[in-house]
Amino acid sequence: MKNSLRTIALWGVLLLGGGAMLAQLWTLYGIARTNGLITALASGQEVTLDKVVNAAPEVRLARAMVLKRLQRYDEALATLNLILDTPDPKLQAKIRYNLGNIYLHLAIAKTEAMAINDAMPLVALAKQSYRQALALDSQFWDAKYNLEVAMRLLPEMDKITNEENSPVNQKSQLWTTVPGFPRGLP
Amino acid sequence: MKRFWTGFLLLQCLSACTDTDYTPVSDFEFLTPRPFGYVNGDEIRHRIMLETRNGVQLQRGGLPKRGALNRWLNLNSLAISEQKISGGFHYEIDLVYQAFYAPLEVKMLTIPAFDLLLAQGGHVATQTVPAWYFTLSPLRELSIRKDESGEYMRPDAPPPLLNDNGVRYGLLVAVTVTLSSAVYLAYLYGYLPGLPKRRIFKQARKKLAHCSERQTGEALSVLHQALNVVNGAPLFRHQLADFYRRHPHYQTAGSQLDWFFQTSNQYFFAGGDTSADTVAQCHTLCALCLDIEGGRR
Repeated sequence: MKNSLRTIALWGVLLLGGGAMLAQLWTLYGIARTNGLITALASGQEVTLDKVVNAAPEVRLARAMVLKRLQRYDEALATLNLILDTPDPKLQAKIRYNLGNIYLHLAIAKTEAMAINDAMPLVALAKQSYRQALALDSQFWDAKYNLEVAMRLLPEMDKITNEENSPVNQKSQLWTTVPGFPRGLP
Repeated sequence: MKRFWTGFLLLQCLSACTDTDYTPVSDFEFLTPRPFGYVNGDEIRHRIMLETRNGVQLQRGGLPKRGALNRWLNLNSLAISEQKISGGFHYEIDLVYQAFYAPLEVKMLTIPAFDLLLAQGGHVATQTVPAWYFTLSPLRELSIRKDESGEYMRPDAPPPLLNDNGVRYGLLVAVTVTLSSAVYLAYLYGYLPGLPKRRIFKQARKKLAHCSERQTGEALSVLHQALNVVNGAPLFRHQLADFYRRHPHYQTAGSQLDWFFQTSNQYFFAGGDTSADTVAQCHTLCALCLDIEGGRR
């Protein structure tokens, strides 16, 4: 009876192990296919849209970069916005950084065309994206550099001094913001 | 009476002295990193170590809140650990700030001071965490650098390939488990070459198949040989208890083995009279032992 139970248990383990082995092989095959797709997109090859729509965030990130290269910026932004909340923080940092790059690229183009008013919100969006990327990965040097590019393009408005946080200074700032009465003309 | 008043006044003086010496904090340390060499987006870690007296507790509501402290400074995380020590509490407060500022040259910035609120009953006291000064450097040269696509900026991050290390590890485990169980089952069923021990009764069954109903002696001998091989030495009836101890799975055939040894003794040593179905019963016992050998019983 004991031996019989042992044999049944062994058959069970064999079947479970075999099932797990097949499942792992199938997963490995899927990963290899996805990596092939990412490599193809990164090298600029055309990939049909149905392969990308429900694909892993990495594939959609690659697709967004292809769209950016083709100057289809709105589609690239839409693709990146759909995968912003991916759970892997490193990947999310890359997505937000690439999103910031698109905004910054557009902002620089607008600035060079002297459309400053159009450029300002884009720079603000770029800075926000870079900050979010750096909050996820503070060692992301490219994000630090491009944030500095964006900050130079649209400098922060408040002047930082060492005394800015003192209560006295805050009080004086408060008074200076109160508008004075206009002096009337004679 | 004079001595009473002297003592009373002395006690009053002592208690007054004790009140004036009372401080809620017995130890305060503010641990900070180097105050230079930071760049835009760097994290700065501060640790505050605080020990309080007489059950004075830190009021967590007085600590800075996570998020933007001002336009260029974020508090990314705030962790507090509290430990009860004799007469008070030991606190460790870990703060992680992140600076977002793009200076044109090396610039001194300040992480603002704040007060730790301490309370015991209705009494409230504060411990100031001082402002911390550090310098932040630019990452970028002052003159605007251009490349063929305009103003120079760092390129896009390439999409990462999916990591399959976990799946490979899982596959290795699954293959190991499957192979191990398959090999063990093959061993139990006697399919492994070079391990004849598991085929003893299979060979005995083949030999018994050649025995006719009248060849009782041959049939009994075949089973004796098989049992001797399993035992590793000639097996006699009085050694069965020891045999079962070393091969407990054969205990399920205990009654048939008893019958076998009794019949064998009767045949070989008491005149040779046995029942007509002895050979058939030897077949049954051999089949039973074959099942035990194969792990099916």
